[in-house]
Amino acid sequence: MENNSALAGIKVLDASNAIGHYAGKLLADLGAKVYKIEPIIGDESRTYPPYLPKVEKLENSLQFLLLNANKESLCIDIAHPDGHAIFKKLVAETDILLESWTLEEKEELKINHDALIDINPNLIQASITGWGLTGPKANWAYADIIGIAMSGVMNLAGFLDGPPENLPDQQGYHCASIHAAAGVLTALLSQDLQDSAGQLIEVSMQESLSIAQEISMQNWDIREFIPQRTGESSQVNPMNLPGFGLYECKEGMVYIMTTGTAGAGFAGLVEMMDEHQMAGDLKEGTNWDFIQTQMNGANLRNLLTDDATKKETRIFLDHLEELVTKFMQSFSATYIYEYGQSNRVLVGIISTPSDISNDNHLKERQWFQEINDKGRNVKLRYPGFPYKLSANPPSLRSAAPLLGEHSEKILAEVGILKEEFVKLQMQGVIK
Amino acid sequence: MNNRPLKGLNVLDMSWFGAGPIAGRALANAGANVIKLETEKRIDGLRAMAPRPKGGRGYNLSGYFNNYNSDKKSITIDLTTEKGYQLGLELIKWADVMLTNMTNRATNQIKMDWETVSKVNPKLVAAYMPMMGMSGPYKDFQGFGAMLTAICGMNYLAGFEKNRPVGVGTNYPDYVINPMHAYIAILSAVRIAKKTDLGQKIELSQNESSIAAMALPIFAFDNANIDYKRNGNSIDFAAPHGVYKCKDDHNGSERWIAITCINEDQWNNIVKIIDDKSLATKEYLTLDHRKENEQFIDQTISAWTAKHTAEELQAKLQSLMIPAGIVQNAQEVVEDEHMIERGYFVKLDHAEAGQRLYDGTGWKMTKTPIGMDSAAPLLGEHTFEICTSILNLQPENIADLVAEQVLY
Repeated sequence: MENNSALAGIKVLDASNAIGHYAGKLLADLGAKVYKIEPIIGDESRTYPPYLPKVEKLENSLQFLLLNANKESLCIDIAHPDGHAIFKKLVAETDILLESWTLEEKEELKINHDALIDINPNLIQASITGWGLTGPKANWAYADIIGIAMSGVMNLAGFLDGPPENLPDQQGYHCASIHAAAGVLTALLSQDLQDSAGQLIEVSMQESLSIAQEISMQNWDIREFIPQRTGESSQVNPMNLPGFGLYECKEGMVYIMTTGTAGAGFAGLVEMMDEHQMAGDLKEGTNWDFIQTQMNGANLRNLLTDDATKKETRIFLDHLEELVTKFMQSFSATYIYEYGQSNRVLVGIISTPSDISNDNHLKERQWFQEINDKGRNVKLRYPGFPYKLSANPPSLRSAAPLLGEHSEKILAEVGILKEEFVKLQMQGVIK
Repeated sequence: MNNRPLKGLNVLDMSWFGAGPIAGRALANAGANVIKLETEKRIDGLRAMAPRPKGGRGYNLSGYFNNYNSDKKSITIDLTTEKGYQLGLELIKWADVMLTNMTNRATNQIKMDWETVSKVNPKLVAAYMPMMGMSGPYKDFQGFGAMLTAICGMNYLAGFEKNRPVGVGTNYPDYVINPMHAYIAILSAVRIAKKTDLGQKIELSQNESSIAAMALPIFAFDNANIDYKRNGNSIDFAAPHGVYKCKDDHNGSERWIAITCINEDQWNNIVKIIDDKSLATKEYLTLDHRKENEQFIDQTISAWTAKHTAEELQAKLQSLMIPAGIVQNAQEVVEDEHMIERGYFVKLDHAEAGQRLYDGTGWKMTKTPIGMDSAAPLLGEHTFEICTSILNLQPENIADLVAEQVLY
């Protein structure tokens, strides 16, 4: 398949473990040629459940398949002197190296950035680890959930009567990877803009997540307030206002953010209720005035803290909550979502993976991608890309590689031909 | 700093709230000249939000806003006036990159659609980030990050099944996933534009961008018929994998620690530390068996963690290379010795908000370092400067335009 994607022609050596797989995927989907360096036993994530049925071990991990399509696999022991020498040849030819060795592991493998720059002065090396390469915790063990915990993000998720909660599908690894890919693109562009040659990009997962604490850090810095997990409420709606949050519908659930000035606001929600004869007395006189002028966080905060207005405001808000709840329970979530959004009422819907898989909007946008995975003899449906580029869109060009599928081809490119390849294979340096 | 990597790149940032401005901030921190085009008629909502220093009022104090807008310049133009619109187009000509996360309706209303801007500046990379993209039946749907976590499937998958799918407590995709995906797409396109003199349109549906970064459940559903549900803190490929209650701290506040064992070494080591015979059976060496007995293992670990302080546990587990980390709150993150030594958080002086802490950059680079030089701009702080230096207006023209409420 022709590669017209934005990074066509860029070569990437991806020696990272699970923390960096999404970075490699982002670059590969954008058109870069990504050689995935795997240990002889295969990347650890090849063993991760869940599995694709009827496909053999090491080739059936869905996570591996998802994050490694468009890459080629070179299976090599780079701790072995011969493997190490080959690795250096590959470094000399590449534009980008992604890796996730800790400082200690780099020392053991005798890999350091300055030495690699001697081999390839234009090398962009991106190091993606849990804690970065400096600081007292640089060599600490990490995992996705540990980064979420230490970054302050986990402290905000969950209910106070239960534990803090992790985020689904490895958000720590995703955030680290996204920042690494962003750093790589920055370094690539600076080669054109500033003639900067090669350099080291360094990502700490903990740091890459910190900004996702929303307003926690500022709450501490500005007013020495420490936010905690809020359960049904949220950091930006601490007062549990009506028209904000999760509502049960006749079928399904919606998450709405109508209390505020965006879209049609709470008044828009009341109009919608009124069109279904369910607005009660809300469109009458002072009630309607209040709804049109006071239903935003700032005004309600004042009304709920002022002794003169506190009590009657709470009573009115409870009344609103009751009517909104009843309205939501009378229709399906899909109906409220579509009807509301068509009238600029801020309604979101709780989607399941099956809902997303069957979503008409995504279908019409042809978001999902299909590929015939010949190595595994199966047709696979992939979720699409995060963005479209009108002239140079990302593309799904090849399936996730089988273990060592491209070893021979890749080594031939650095001058290691059949005979030597077989020898290295017998020595266990290559697979 | 003189050797920022994107020095010389011009960016017109017409975005607001979280996902757009953070992309603009990343470009600014990498050295691009980022002009935030604002209007008081439709103020960036974060300017009006908490937290602010006590007693403070006005649009320049919000820590929420300021954190996401460092290193930018602010110009206030009313684009709905004809003269204002022409100034906007002049800035489009100046820009290498235009960025917005407004709805399609709003983009069309202010005539900053791709058709228009690409004619004005064929080299322009224009990034549009409406929630549901620019085509399809839901293209005009709008919302904030906390609604998006519902729509993209995160709420359904986060937390424990006994609780309702309330989400993760924040507008999560606004802060890294969507802005930094946008940043990646923008730089990919700029690199081509610099070589070919041809810009292009970037369309980032925040919904699609969010799903792309948590795609496994959908991929597993589509190809293996696996139905993921909210599964608390547990995952398929590791056990134990959870968050455990420790001894309360000296103030009586609860403390939690996240622990996982992904491979056999880590498991062997934790069994050694916990020293509980019921865990030391051979069959727990395989992931399958540990998953089958996960509840029992979690209870045993919890009974152990309850007897120790979070700090003791973290030090002990990490000394044997077991992934473990305290669930830190905002204060602990700011005071984390590791973060401090690495210099992650940055203190910047702001004319009205004073000296405040800013989140640092998401990565470091050696040759052309990125970082922060100045705090977020006051509303319209650079209107005069931009009018004279970029729009080539004379002071008397500027005064007229202010009187006509085109500029303010």
